[in-house]
Amino acid sequence: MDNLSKIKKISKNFHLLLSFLLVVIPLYYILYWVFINYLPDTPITVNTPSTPLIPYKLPIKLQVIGFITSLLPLSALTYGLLNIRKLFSFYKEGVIFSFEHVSIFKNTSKALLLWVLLSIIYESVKSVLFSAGNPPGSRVVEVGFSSAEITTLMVGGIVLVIAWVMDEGRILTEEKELTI
Amino acid sequence: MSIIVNLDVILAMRKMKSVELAKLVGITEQNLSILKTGKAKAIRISTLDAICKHLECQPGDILEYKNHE
Repeated sequence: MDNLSKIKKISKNFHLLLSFLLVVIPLYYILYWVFINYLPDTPITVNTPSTPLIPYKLPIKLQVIGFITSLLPLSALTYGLLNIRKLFSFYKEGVIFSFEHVSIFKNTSKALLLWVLLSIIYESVKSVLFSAGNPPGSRVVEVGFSSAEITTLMVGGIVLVIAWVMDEGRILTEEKELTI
Repeated sequence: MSIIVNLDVILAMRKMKSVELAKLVGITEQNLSILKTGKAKAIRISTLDAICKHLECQPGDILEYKNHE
């Protein structure tokens, strides 16, 4: 099997996987906020009673606020996934270099950077909501920036460089097509 | 661009059709059209060689430089 056939075959599978994720991820966010009061702290517990994720029942109003805030990182993530799916739809047709590819890579990079920023905001809001029922003095605001965020930022930066490389590839392809 | 492709003129002088030349040179009609309309970014020496051979002309007859300044 030549390289292009391999790209087409694997891209078809990735396209399917991304389509699946585009449905499952928003569904996960909805279910998470609907059943927030019933979720355990850890999904699997052995020989120990499971503790709830939050110590008190979250009122519906806070659940709605939580869900609306979750739409921030979700929108960035969905935007990124839509772009990557579009990229694989080109690959599965055997189109490797085009102007569209460059903008897809640039958009994916932007989506990743935005996702990091919005995730930090989301996690901070979550910490406020989860501790809103605590007595005064025990309510917290957590602003986190961990290795996961650094990794995503690095990936975003690398994707941006790849976008510039793709642009050079596109110019070379166009030149090749217009060489008689 | 300052380079003008006079392929049309030479073809008319030799009373040859584009389809015929494309077949003789071994390129597609579409590519020959790109060359004739001046949209081509580059021309291979082998293509130029084949065109000159079949049209019995010199590269200078096909390509002309005109300063537009």
